[in-house]
This record gives sequence, structure tokens and C-alpha cells, in this order.
Amino acid sequence: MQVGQIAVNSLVWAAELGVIAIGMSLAYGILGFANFAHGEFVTVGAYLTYTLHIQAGLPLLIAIPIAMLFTGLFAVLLDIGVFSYVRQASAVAKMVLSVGIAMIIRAVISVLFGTSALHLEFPSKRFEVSNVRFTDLQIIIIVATLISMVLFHLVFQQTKLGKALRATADNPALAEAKGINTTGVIRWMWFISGIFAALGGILLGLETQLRPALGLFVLMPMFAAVTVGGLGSVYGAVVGALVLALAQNLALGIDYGSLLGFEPWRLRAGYKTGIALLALVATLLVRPQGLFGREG
Amino acid sequence: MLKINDVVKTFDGFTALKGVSLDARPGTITGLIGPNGSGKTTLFNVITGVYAMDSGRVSLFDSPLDTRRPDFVARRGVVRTFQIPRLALRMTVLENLLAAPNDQSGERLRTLFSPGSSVAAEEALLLETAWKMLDFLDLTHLANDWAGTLSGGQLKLLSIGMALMSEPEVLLLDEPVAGVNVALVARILDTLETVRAQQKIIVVIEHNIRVISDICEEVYVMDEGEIIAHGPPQVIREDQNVRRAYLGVKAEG
Amino acid sequence: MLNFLVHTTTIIAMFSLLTISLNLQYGLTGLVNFGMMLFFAIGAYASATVIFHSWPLWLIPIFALGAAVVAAVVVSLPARRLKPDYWALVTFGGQEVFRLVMLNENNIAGGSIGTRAIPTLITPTPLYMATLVALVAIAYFVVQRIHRSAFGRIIRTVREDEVLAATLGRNVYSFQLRVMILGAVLAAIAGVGYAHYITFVSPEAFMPVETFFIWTMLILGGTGNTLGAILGAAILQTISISTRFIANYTGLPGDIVGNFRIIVFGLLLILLVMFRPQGILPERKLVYEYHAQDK
Repeated sequence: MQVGQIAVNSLVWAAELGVIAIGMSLAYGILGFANFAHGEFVTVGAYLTYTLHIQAGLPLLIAIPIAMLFTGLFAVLLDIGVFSYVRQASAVAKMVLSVGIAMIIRAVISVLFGTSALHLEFPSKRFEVSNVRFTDLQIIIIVATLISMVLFHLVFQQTKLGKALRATADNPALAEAKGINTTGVIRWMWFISGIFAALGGILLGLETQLRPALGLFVLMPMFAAVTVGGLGSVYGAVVGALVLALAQNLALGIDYGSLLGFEPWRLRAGYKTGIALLALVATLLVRPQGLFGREG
Repeated sequence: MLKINDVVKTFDGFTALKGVSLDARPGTITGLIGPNGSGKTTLFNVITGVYAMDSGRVSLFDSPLDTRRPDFVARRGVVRTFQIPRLALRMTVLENLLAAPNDQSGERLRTLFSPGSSVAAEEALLLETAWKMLDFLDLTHLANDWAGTLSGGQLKLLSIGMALMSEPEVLLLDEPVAGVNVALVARILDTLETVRAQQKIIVVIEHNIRVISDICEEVYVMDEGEIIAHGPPQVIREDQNVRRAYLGVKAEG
Repeated sequence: MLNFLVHTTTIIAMFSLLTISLNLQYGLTGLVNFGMMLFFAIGAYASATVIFHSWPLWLIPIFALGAAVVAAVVVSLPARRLKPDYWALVTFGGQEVFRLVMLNENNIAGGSIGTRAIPTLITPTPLYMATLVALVAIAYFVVQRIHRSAFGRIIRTVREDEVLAATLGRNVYSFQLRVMILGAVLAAIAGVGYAHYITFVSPEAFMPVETFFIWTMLILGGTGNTLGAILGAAILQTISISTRFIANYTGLPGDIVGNFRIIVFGLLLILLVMFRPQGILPERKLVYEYHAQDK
């Protein structure tokens, strides 16, 4: 596969993953545990959009923001209903809890929508520029994620909420002592990560298809992106997503056989998740703080 | 003799230990005092392998001590306690003591499956020693309680007991009597004096100046990662540098 | 009816081996292994591969145990450097990588189609069940012995505080590795038992989410309690089978009921973690009598 094509595919996947990873990184920084339910926010956002657009007939431009909003609210409800009761529990316990929630969400979606793949109809036009194929949808995805990341940056750096978020992520006890309402901050954090995860899911759904296993599908790459980018660094997560997307597509695109002088041989597409895992393990062993993270 | 030479340790740009040297002789109790944050516990952590030192040398009885891993250090007979006691909270008090001494043959898996009477004999001996230790610490009535139910002072006592179970050559105690009630303090100090009489090396971090003066032959004072004074307790008490370091910190006793 | 009971007992026995394995790893040693399917699948695929290639049957235990040990070593290597929640992620991914390889490489054991017609080797079925139950009994006694031994004391100390165990002179990694190997072997045996009982092995049986069913069973029955592990397996398998009955009775389609089962398991997991993390049977306290020899 040509370099240009790899670049385009990676950029799109990185965009989708990056948007999801930002929320995940923010959540991990503030909550301190790997939230398995985050993957399900991706699924919920996508399926909500399906309900609003395909089933209820709302135009996409209206369905998408509503779906994002509701997913964000859903995330907040999860915090209020479940996670706020276990703040003192160990990271492992919270992880297991999030697993239980993820299981339920996925099962409910399977029951409500069935297990076969669904599609968010979006007629996309194809283009080809010097042997590199792409669609207008992919461009929209990249632009949309860029805009959302800029918006996130503005909120994160310029607003009082952003300041509170950063303070809480840095040192929750200190933030509390300074008078920051950490509970409120945490609720906002769930909301934001919910919205962003939903956006990622919607874009993924538009580009590919909807399956209940969508959350599981992004889980490993998401954790990998956040780890590669660095614990505690929200922007690092975006870079991590880019690095991971490139790594995945390169690893699949390279013809190892010819490289070594044998017959052409490539990794099968099914191994994409395996590459995410490899990236995760490699980062954790070689440079546990990731590219931009702080130590510990 | 425990020789610590020129130990340097930095964390992320902050130099916690700026070249610390300390000697501790057998049959003595050496005190290590200093204001909070001066690096005392960091020194312990570094020489017991909990943190890696940037540079420096540690030797025990004239042979170098490998401080890369805590278990290397412990196996040379250097045992320590922690400022906030570390124990197995979901094991009983007795089990904590039983777990302490090193190299029990029951720890090798194959002994589980081959009925060896030597393992049983070892366990019996270990149990006896543990009961004696409990008696000594006056914790016998708590033997079968979960360690998590003990009070802070009792936990300190238990950790000292655990340290002693391994019959160490070197005992490094981090604030063994801080927060412990007076009667227990006396017991702990008595224990230390017994161990000293056995010609072991003891280094104690403490804030209680009176305790230090009472039991230590030699005292090292740390401030901001360096040793600023050392000598017998009376000399230290008069030392101007020490007084300056403690300005603003009320010396107890 | 009898057939049904025999079948249920066999399945419960199989899961008991898995929960006992997890109890050893997590309940006793604190290793948060989210990848139980890895060792389980290794056992099952050892059988499947041998049958697929029509190799001699004595290769099965060699492959199963050998691969289990290798996998245990590989998986435990990162454990010394990683925080428990990150290592959990790694194990979660690791099991999936194995499944992906089995799924995508058609010449190992049939790829996505899987391997069929695996001979049951021990017939009739009640005898097979008895064999598995015997294995569970052995596993139970082995883990109990471990719990009471000096080895057990140390792994529990490692569980409570790794730094403490190290400053008491123990090579923490060496203990973790040995526990992983034991746990892997137990789970692989369950896998072999699975393969020859179901007589069909395909990647669908080892989806990543299944590992969390084992976690639910262990947490329900009682983390740290080997009998609890068996109890948890028994209870949840009974629920599982009951939901299948409900499916047949009410005529609801299979995968809807399958999903309801997942919802029930998920709810159980959440409720347990929030309100009763120690499960039904708490960890047994080893009590010693003053100056007595028995424990």
C-alpha cells in the first residue's frame, strides 16, 4: 500500500481515535483508573444518532449534537448513580465496576438494536488524487475532530472550568483545599469525555458501521493511544492517537515478505488490535510515562 | 560496620540527597535526625533498594552492599521498618510475624508436594519463635486478629517485631516510637537496647530529641539533603548549625 | 434429567478450575489478571491443534502445559514493572491477541472455522464428569495447601504490600511467576477438558468478555476463598443454565437471552463491588492455638 494512502487512512483513524482518547485521558487523569465503560460511550453515541437519524428521521446535523449531549448526560448519570459511591475504592475495584457497566451497556444495545451491523446513511463522494483514495466524509471527519479539539483546547486553557479541571487532574486534594468544587469538576469531566467519546463513535459509525461491539473495538486502541501519548497529558493523547494510527496502518501495510527477500507477506487486517496492544506494552516497558506524560 | 558513602539522589530535578555519608558501628545505636523533608527517609529508601540511588556506595562489614533491589539488601541482613508501618493487613498478627524471616524452606513449591518432615519441624520452630516474639511485644492476645484491626502504636510494635524475626545484622528503624504511647515506647527502647547488646547495628530516625539523646551513642543531623553535623548527642545539642536548622521547629523533650 | 445434571456438573467443574486459578492469581496473590481466556484457550487449542493435524494424542498435554508455562512467563514479565491496572489491560489485550492469531491463521487449528470432531477420550459422560470433578478436588486441595504454607504466606504478603515483601527479603517477581505458572496450568487443564467435552473448538468461545464472567464468579463466591471460587462458579452457571431454560420456555430468541444473562452478570458484578466486595465466603483466617501444633 502506498505511503500516501497509509497517511490518509491513518489520519482519519487518528482523528476518530484522538477525539475519543482526549476524553479518556482527561478521565484517567482525574479519576485515576482505566474506565472500561468509556468505550461504551462511543457505542452509545453512535447508536443514539442512529435512533435519532434513521429511526426518528431527524437530519444528521440535529441528531448528532443531541446524541452527543445525551451521551454526556448519560456519563454524568453513571457518575452520580454508581461511581460517586466508590471514590475511595481501589483503582482495580473501579475498573471491575466499569467493566460491569460496560457489559450491561453492550448487552442492552444488543437487545435493543440486534447484533447485525447497522449503517448511518451518509452518501459519500469518492475522490482520487495521485493514487490516493479518500472520501468527502473522511475530510469532514478530520475537520470536525480538529474543530472539536480546538474547542476543547479553548475550554481547557481559557475557561474557569478548564482551570479547575487541570488543577483537579494535577492534585485533587490541593484543588479541594483551594476551594474548587471537585465533585462538580468531576461531573463536568464525565460530561466532556462522554460528548467526545460520542463524537468519535458517531464519526466511526459514519465511516464504517455500527455494531454493539464498537466499544470493545476501540477499547484497546484507546488505552494504547492514551498510554503512548502519556499519562496526564490530554494533548499527548491526540499525538498518541496519531502515532498509534500510523503504527497500525504501517504495520499492516508493509510487505514484510518482500522486505526480507521472500514472497510478499503482510499481516492480516485482523491483527490491528494486536498492534495496539504491542504499542501499549512497548510504551509501558520502555517509557511508561509515554511521550508527554509526567512521571508517576 | 555499615558504611554509607556520598549517596546522591535526585527526583525530577529536585536533589533529595546531596552526597550523604554515614557510618554505623556494631553494638551502637546511631540516630538520624533533622527537620521534615531533610531526606532521612529517602536515605533509608535508597540504601534499602526501594529507590535507586544516582551515585554512592554502601558497604556492610567491608563488602559492598548491592542496593539495586530491596530483597538483595534484606538478604544481607539489613532490615527496616517504615514511618507509616507496612504490614499485611489482611493477615493475622501471628502470620505477619511468621512471614518475616527469610528463606523458609516451605517457600519452595516442591516442598508442598513432597511430605518432608524438615519443613514441618521448621514451621514448628518458627511458630515457637513467633509466639515468643508476641509475648515479648505483649501482643499475644491479638495473635489471631487481622493486623488491620490494630492501633497505630501496635502496628509500629508489630513491625519492629517482624524486623526482629529475621535476626537482622542491621536494623533501620524509621520513627519507631512516634505516636506510640509511653508504656510501649519504653518496651521498644528496651528491645533496641537488647539488640544493641547483641552487637547489631541500629540506625534510628526519630523526631523525639530526648529519645535520641537517651539511647544513641552517635547522632547524625540532616538538613536539606546533607549531613550538617554528627557526633555524640550532647555535642549535637549544642551545635549552632543544628539549632539553626531546627529554628521554627519545636524540639521535643 | 440425569443427563442434564451430569452436563451441568461438568460445566461447573470446568469453570471451577478457572475460578480456582483466578483465585490463586488474584485472591491470594493480588495479580489482576483480566486475560483468563488466554490460558483457557491455550489448553483448548492444544487439543484442537493436535486433532486438526492428526498428530499423536500424547502431544496434547505437552502442548497444553508447555504453552501455558510459556504464556505465563511472557505475561508475568511486565507485571514487575507495571501498576496493577495497567498490567490488567495488558493481560486483557494479550488474550485477544492469542484469539486473533487462532482466528486468522487457518493452518493452526482451522482459523475461524475451528476444529471439529475432537474425540472425547473418556466415555461415558458421567465418567468424564467424574474426571473433571476429581481434577477440581485436586486443585482445591493443592490451593488449600498453598494457602496454609509458607509459600502461601509470602504470596499473600505480596498481595498486601509488594514493597513490604521485598524489604523482607523476598524476590517478589519469582513468587508472582510461580503463581502465574500454576494458574496457567490449571486454566489450561480446564481448556483441554472443554475441548474434549464440547468436541468443537473455535475462536468464538474465547471472546474477551468471558474473562469477566470468571471474575464475577470469583467475586461472588468469595475472593481469597477456594471453596468460594467453586461456589461462585456453581451459582453463576446455574443462573446461566436457568436463563437458557427461560429462553426455551418463553420462546425468546437465543441471543436476547444471552444478552440478558450478560446483563445479570454485569449487575451482579456492580452490586458486589459496591456492596459486598468480599463475596459470599470471606477469606478464611488461619488461626493458631497457643503452643499447639495444629493449625
